[in-house]
Amino acid sequence: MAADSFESKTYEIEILTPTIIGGQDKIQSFEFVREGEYLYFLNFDKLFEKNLFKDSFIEELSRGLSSGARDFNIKDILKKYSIDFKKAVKYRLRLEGVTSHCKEVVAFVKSAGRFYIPGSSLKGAMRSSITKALSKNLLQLYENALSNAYQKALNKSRVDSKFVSRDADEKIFGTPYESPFKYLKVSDSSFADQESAGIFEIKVLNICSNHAKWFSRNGNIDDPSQATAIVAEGLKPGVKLYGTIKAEKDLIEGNSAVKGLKEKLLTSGASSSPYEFVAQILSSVAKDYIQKEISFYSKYNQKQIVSEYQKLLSILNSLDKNQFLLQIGFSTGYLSKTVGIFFNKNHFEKLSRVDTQSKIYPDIFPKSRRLLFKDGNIWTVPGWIKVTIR
Amino acid sequence: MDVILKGKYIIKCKIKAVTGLHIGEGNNSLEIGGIDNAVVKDAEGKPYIPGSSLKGKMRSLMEFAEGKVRDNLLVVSVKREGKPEICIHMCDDLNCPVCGLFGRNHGSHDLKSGGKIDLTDAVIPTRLIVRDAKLIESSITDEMKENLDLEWTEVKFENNIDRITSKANPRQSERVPAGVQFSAEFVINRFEVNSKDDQKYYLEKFIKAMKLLEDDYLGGQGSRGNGKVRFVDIEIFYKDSSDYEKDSSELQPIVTAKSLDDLKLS
Repeated sequence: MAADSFESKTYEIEILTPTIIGGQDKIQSFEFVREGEYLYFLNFDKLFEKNLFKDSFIEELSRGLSSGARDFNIKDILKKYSIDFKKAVKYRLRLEGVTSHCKEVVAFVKSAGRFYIPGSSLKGAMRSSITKALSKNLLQLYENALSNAYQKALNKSRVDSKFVSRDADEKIFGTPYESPFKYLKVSDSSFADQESAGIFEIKVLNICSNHAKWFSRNGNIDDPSQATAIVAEGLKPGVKLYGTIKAEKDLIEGNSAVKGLKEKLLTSGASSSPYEFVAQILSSVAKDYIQKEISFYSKYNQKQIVSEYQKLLSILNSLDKNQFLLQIGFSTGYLSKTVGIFFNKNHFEKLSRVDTQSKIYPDIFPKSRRLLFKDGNIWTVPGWIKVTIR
Repeated sequence: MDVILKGKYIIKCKIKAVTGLHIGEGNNSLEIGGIDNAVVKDAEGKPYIPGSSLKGKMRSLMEFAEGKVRDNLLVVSVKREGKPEICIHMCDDLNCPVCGLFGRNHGSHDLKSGGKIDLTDAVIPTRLIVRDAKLIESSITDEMKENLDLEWTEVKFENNIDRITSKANPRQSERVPAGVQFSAEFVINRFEVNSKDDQKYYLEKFIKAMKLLEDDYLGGQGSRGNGKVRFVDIEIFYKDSSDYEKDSSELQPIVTAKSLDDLKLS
């Protein structure tokens, strides 16, 4: 092991498009108040501590919640009882062009209340991308794993859709103990202040009979302004976060215990630095993915998204050797997280039998995309970040 | 072998969790309402860093950094089904910085490369003593506390995502949140072995181990975010063996530093 492998480097994440790393929680409508350009998130402990509530306040609150009234608004109840909610606010976030009603908000992952990007999210996205760069004979192992699961499903054996790729993962990378990814260490990022975060609106584009429609609870519709919105906490474009990363030589070269990635990956002129090697792989995968997405959105005449992806492509083409683009987090879709970008109609037919809970249309899958909206207009795609390693 | 205790270096510092810290308690807890994958806690229910975790990690990093991870230099510590499962470096070289600082065990050991090595004649008292590092409660601010899932810790959720179906398999683990500090103490015995005085040799090697740890991680799930630590507010004291015969007096540090970057021994 070379001496340089002991030193970790700094990574810088620059948010290019709003990025949402979902925690486990959804913040319910009684937990925040919308006022002006902000959502104020309430701290109920403080409300109680400061004795700001009146006896019947809780009763009225629970009555409103249990009745599931659509027009329930905690702001009205707080006003009725003359409670100044701003005295009991955890934090507030600016609404970034959100025009829809905020019924619930997808919470961003936090550590003791502070926004950050977990090392696990960054590393997981890097691993997913690296997997897409595998040679064809290794990707074949994923096709075999899908075929095996399909056969099991045909034989009415139980298939757990959470573990279909596990055999292929292990054949390629070994057990977690042997995996070359042991030699890629990515720390959690620094914390982002509240000004770096905002509330974003997402809507679902759905391809129906070869036309772009928008998902709504009443069916797919033509008018995006009437489509159902998902509202989420996210990090704003331009925000920069920092952490440490260590890519040891054994990640790409292997040792007696670990077969390295280098011999498994299709690369030309791989750099001697593991960092540059990884950046080269990730940029190449991102380029392929972006070009395919441009082709998809062009076909369905989504000019704004094509333009956004062309901007990303232009950034990607001007990157240095120590930089790469990656898509991470919530609402980034099936293709960003899987090897499904290489699948065709036959594969998706099998997948539809393996994963019976999802709606899989073999002729076109995935047929939906989640897109960010601003001020009622289609804006951009979520989760693109630029990573620089120094 | 002649071994004389010349004195003790005592290193006091704080260990700051720069990212969340998960030192697992082995999932043996039957605590009601406890979560999966809990962190180790003391008798008062507060998380702490066991000296064994610190010492073990530092030893491991030093074994790599000193070029000791080679089959003919590794002894089998744990076997499974007759095969080596856990190997560590131990040797009979009296000048070995790893064995000299972290210690070696008596008796005969199986070498990973085959054959045996008897270390009985090379064993001297272990120079490094690592105390358990106790939580500094005030390092968890009121604002952090308001947002914690548990009294001193948070729960982090992660997903394994299937690369074919994209289905998520969630798991949770407890961790100490970033920013929390622990008070740590290390003691390094300075010996004279066969008339050769250690001087500051092992103190310098220990500081190297601290630096290696800062560039690695402590505890679990470190390759994906957790366990980045920094040593801060460092004070190094020296007690000569003759000092133990004197009335106790206020000991002054021989070196102080805000961080390892500022630390200069000479």
